[in-house]
Amino acid sequence: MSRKITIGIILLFIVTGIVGAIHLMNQDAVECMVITQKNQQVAVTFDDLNREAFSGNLINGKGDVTFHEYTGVLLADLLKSKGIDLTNASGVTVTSADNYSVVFTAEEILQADRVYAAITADGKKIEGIVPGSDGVQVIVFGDPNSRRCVRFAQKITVNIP
Amino acid sequence: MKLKIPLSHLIFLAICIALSLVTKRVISPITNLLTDFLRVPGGGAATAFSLMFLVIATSSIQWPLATAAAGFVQSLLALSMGMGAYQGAFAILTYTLPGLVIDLFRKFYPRRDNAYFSLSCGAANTTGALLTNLLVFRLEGISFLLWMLIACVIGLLGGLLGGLLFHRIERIPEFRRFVLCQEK
Repeated sequence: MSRKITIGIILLFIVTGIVGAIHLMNQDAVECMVITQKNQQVAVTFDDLNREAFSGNLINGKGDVTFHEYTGVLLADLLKSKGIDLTNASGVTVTSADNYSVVFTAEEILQADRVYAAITADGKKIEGIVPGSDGVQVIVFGDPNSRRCVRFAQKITVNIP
Repeated sequence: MKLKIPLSHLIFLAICIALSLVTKRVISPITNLLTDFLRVPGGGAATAFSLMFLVIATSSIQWPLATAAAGFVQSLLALSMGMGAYQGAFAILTYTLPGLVIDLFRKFYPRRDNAYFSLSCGAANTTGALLTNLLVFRLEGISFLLWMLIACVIGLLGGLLGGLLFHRIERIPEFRRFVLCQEK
């Protein structure tokens, strides 16, 4: 009987391993943002954002300059990878989960090393609006303050005039 | 029917309840490594090793509903010591009902072999996990399946370990005399 139980435990252990692997694969593809252009909607997963390391200085409201290291993707590259062309766009609006929104011009988005979507900051995962969950923050270098660094970024809307 | 309970049984049960609570505290960080990695809530895995001591206790003393009673006492202790965590008052249910499952198992499976320990602990832990999900976590789909499978596998393993431990302490003459009430 003990042998049967041991075999049963080993089999269940294998099944648990397989289910765990499937579960983790599904987790990696978790949708974190939505890009909207006219009537078209494109989902963005955390995998789409995990592309490059970048760093730079940010200036807070008091004028203090701080250096930070991030993992994420240049917003222009993300839009390009999702087949979104900014040629006819007047700009891009980024909206957070708490409905804070910020507008970027198409020129700002297309500038090298300017607007990024980040998933880690200084080696730590960026938190989502639900405590303990993963989130996305838009990072803007070169602004006089960090007001346009949108936390809990959830929606990117391409504005077409 | 008047139930006569020897003092040695009460002492042994109290020791097992204390060991059960301490084990849960000690083993939680280790099992959380696994559940954090798999991104499912922790707790269910550590409970298996905690239930192991209740199965040992109530296999040794033969009162009806002893495990449910021990689970109830344990839930009150856990609540008073702030171990109920996210469950709050629901801890009374999630600690007591797995005990009831062990009692039912004990009634319908009178042998005290490794299969009894493993299956009863596995069934009790799975019941606890199911109940916690129903009352607190509300996991669905593959996350729920994984949560239940982890509870079941670790429950079976914990029970098997409990069985091995029980068969070891069963050989101690004092244990046979005072707890199992067997004469020399």
